Amino acid sequence: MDNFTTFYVSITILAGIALLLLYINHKLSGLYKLLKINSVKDDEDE
Amino acid sequence: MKFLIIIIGLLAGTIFGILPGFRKQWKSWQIVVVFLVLGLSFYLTFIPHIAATHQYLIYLSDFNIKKELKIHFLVQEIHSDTIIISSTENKTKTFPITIKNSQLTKGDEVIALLSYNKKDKSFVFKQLIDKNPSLVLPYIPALGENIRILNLHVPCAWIAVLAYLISMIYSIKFLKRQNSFFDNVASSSALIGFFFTILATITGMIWAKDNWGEYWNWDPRETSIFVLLLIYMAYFALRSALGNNKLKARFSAVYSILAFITVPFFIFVLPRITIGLHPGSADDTSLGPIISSEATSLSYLKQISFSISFMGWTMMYYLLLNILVRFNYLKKEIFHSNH
Repeated sequence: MDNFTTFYVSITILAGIALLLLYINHKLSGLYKLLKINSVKDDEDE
Repeated sequence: MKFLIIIIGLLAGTIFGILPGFRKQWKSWQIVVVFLVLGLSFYLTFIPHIAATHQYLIYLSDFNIKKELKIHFLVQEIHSDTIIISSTENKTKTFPITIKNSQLTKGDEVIALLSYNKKDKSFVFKQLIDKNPSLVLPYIPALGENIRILNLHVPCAWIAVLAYLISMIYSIKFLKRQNSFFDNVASSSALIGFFFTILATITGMIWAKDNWGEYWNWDPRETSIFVLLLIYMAYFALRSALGNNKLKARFSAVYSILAFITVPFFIFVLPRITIGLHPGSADDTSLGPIISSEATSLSYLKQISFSISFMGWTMMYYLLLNILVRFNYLKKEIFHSNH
């Protein structure tokens, strides 16, 4: 595999991971809204 | 200067990663920026040509080594069947190359596959690779094209150390304040550190296959990273073995602190005091291209691409940590609301 092919393969994988993480981030924020949680909170009384 | 360029990358990545914090969601544009930086680092890793100087071929011929190498040179004069070349840095010392049907013009910077004929003291032109290339990395003897993997291998190893360090800091914070958020960050960071350790091991194995002949050689560096993987595997085994959340957090916090004490020893000390194949081992005259204080050990382009790579992977670490911390918190909230 030459350098250009390696670059195009790796950049495609990277773009796939980027889309996956954007999707997970979006889904997580949707779940936070559903459960009415603003952000991760401290839990010192546990 | 080299360390400054590398540290700028590390700091820029850390600031970008820390600013959104671990608690709130990253904006989509922030995630896009992480991947743009990583994409740029991949571009600078794979696209530049790696080419030696023609003097290196002459140097090899002194040891009776005849090799075809990508050579970067400047065309000084063109004759009917010969061109006169010089190196791109030293333009005064020129050499002839016999060449037919040349597409070259005077003043071209060229990368071509050449060999050196010691008997005739002449270069043999094999193949034109590129004319007037925008990015060229110098050829490092014994590493050659393999130097490209440096931009993946070294940041992965250093980010594993950073992740284990953050895991230890948040474990100490947990033991002080008994706040489950700190346990969440510590365990998430250890998991990402483990992932990056595996990545560093895989990229190292690929490199080792080309340079040392085998994927795994039980070199002190390989052995130490294997032991480190076992240590952190035990951390996750401990966490999964304890059902009680409070007990799990407390035990794993203590274990994480103890585990991190071994990290500098296994990463920085042991491979440098024992004899091995990895750069920087006790019998190696150089410290390796990154640690070496010699300015020439990495070209400016390589330093910049390495720094950008460092920045991208550091940002990626903080992004993954943010997602994992928020995911673990959500899992706990759903579990609590169901019980």
